[in-house]
Amino acid sequence: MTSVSETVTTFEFPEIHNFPPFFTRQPNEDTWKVQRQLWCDLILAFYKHNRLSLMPLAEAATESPFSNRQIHRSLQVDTLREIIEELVRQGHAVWTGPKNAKDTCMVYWRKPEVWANIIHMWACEHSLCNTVLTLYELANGDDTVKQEFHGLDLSTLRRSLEILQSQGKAQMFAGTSDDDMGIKFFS
Amino acid sequence: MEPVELAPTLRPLLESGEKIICIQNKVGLYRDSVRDEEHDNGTVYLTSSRIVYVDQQLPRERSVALHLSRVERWSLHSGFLYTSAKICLHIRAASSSNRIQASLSVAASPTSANWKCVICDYVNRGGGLGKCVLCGVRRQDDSPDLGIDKCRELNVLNDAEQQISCPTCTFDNHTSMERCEMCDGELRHLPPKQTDDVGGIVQHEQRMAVKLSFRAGGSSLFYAALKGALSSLLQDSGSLATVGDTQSAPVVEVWPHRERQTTAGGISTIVSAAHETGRARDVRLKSAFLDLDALTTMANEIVGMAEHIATQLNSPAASKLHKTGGGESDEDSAARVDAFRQYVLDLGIESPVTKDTAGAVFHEELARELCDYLENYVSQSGGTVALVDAYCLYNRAREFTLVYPSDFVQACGMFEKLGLGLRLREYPSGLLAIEDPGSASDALIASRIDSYVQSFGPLTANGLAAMDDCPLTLAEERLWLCERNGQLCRDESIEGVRFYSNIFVQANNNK
Repeated sequence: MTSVSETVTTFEFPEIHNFPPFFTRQPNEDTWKVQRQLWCDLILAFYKHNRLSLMPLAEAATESPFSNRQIHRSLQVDTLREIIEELVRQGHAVWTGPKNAKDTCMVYWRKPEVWANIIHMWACEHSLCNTVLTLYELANGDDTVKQEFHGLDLSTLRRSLEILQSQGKAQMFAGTSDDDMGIKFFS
Repeated sequence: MEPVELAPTLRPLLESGEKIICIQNKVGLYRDSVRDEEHDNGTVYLTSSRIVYVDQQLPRERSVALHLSRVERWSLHSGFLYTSAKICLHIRAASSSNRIQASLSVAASPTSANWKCVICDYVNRGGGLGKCVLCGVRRQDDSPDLGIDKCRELNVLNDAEQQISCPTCTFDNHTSMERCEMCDGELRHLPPKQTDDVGGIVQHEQRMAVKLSFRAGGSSLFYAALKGALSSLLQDSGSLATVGDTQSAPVVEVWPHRERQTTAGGISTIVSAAHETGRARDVRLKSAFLDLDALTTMANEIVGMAEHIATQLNSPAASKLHKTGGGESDEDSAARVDAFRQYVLDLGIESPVTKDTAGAVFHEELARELCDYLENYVSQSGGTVALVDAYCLYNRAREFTLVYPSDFVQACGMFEKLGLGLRLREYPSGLLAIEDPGSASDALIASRIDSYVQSFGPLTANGLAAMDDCPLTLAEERLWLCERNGQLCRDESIEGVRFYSNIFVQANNNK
C-alpha cells in the first residue's frame, strides 16, 4: 500500500491519507483492523523516510502525518496510542519514559535485530573485529557516514548492540557516561 | 349460528357502525346443553349487534356468529367446583334468512305491532282493527308500539291462553301464580305456550339454546355487557324498554317523592334533605356528562362524514375531476388529494379495543387491531415505522380511549407470536421500530444505501432521512447497520458524522 519515494526531500503520502474516515477511529472491528495496519505501515514509512525515531504522542498528533491540513482532519491522541500499541505488539516500537504513561515511544522503523546484523556485518567487512569502538564513533564517526546506521539515535543503537552482546558477537564496556560506552566486536 | 368473515388478523370483520363491546377468550359452546366439540375453545367477541365466536384452532373454518336480535332470553349460571360459569342464550331460530330483520322492522311499523291505547291503556294485540278493542277509540299514530315481550312483562296479555285455569275451581289465574287465588289449590304449570306473533312472521319458530361456557372466567363482565348490548339494541329497534331478562327486576324509584316532605322536622326530614342534595348532585353530574356524550356523538358523526369524503375521493370520478381541474399541474393536485386522503384515513378506528372490553386477551387483541391499522401505514413509509410515531398515530386514531405506552409496547411484542404481518425490532441503540419483514429487510436497506453513496457521495444521517423520508433516528440506525456490516465507514469531524463507502475493507479484499 505505502509507496515511499526514495528521492530525498518530500514524503509521498499514500492515497488513503486524503480519505477523511482515515482519521476517525472506526467502530467496526474489522474495518478498524485494516485501518490500524494502514496507519502502522504509514508511520514506519514516514519515520524511515525522515529517519526519525522518538515520538511524543501529544505533539505528534498535531503534525504530519497524523494531521492533514488539506482536508482538515487529524488523529485523536487516544487513537494514535492504540495504533502505537499495535506497533509495540509487532515489535516495531517501544514505550519510553514512565512505565504506565504511554506518552512517548520509540519507533523502530527497522527492528534492532536487523540493525544488529547490519552493524556486525559492517564491522566484519571493515576488519574492526576485536577493536574497541565508542558508540559515538559508531553513530557519528567519519567512518560510518555512508552507512545506514549513521546518525542512529543512541538508545536504538544500544538496544541493537545489547542484542549482539547477547548473541556473543560483541562486548560492551561501560565508560563514565553514556557517550563513553565502548564496544568490541567478535567475528 | 352463521359463518363469519374474519380479517387477516383473525378478528371478525365489523359492519359499519358495529362496535366491539367485550372480548373473552377460552370460551366453549354448548348446543342445547350438549357440549359442542367443534367449538370448544375460542375467543368470543360481543359487538353491538352480534356475538362472534372465533375458534382457537381453525378460526377460518369454525368461527360462527349469532345476531343479537335472535336472542330471546338469556341467563347467567355461575360456576361451581368443576363447572365453569355459563351464559345461556335462548335463540329464535330463523327458518328463512331474513326473518328476524323482518320481524323487527314489522314490529317497528305502526300498523301491525301491539299497541297501547292512549285512552284506556289497554294493550291491543296487532294493528288489524285500527281501534281499541276495549273502548273503541281509534288508534292514534303516536300510540306507543310494544314488543311482544314487553306485553308479557307488563302482564297484559289477557288472552285466555295466557292464563292458567285452576284444575279445582276453574278460576283463570295469572300465569305467575303458584296457587289458585280463589281456592288456594295447586296450579299445574304447563310449559309456556308459544304466543302467536300477530304479523304471522315468526309463527312456528323453533327454539334452541346456546350456552357459552367461560373456562377462564370473565362471565359476569360479559353478561353485564351482553345485557347492555341487548337492551340498547331493542331500544334502537323501536321498543320502549328492556325485554325478557329473566333476572332483571323492575327499577323502583324509592326516594325523590316530594309528597313525603309534608311532615316538618324529625329524622325523616333530615334524611330526605340529604337525599335531596344527593339527587341535585346527580342531576348536575348527569347534565355535565350529557355534554360529553354529545361530544362523542358529534365525533362519531364527523368520523362518518370523513369516511364519506374518503370514499368519494377514492372513486375514479373524483380523481378524473382532479386531473382535469385547470390552473395547477396534475401532479400537484394529485399529491394534495393523496395527502388529504391520508388525513382522512388516519381519522378513526371505529371500535377500539380497550382493557374493559378485552380483559385477559387485551394485549393480543390490541396487537391484532394495531396490525390491522398499521399495515397500510408501514408499507407506505418504506416498511419501517419508529415505535413512537406509530404510538402517536394509533392514539390519534383511537380518539378518546387512549392506550398506555407500556400496553402498546407489550402488544407490539406479540406480533410475531401471533403470526401477524409485522414485527417489533429493537436496534442495538435501544430504538424500537415496527417493521414489515418483507419490505424492510436489512439486505434491501443496505443495497439502497449503497446506491445512494455511490451516486451522491458521503452520506449524513440527515441526508438519508430526507432521501428515505424517515425519522432521523431511524436513518441513523440504518447507517450504523451498514457500518456494522462493513459497508460504510465513518468520518467524525466538527461538521458531524459522515459515512463514506468503506474503502479500507474494499482495498483489503482486493489485495
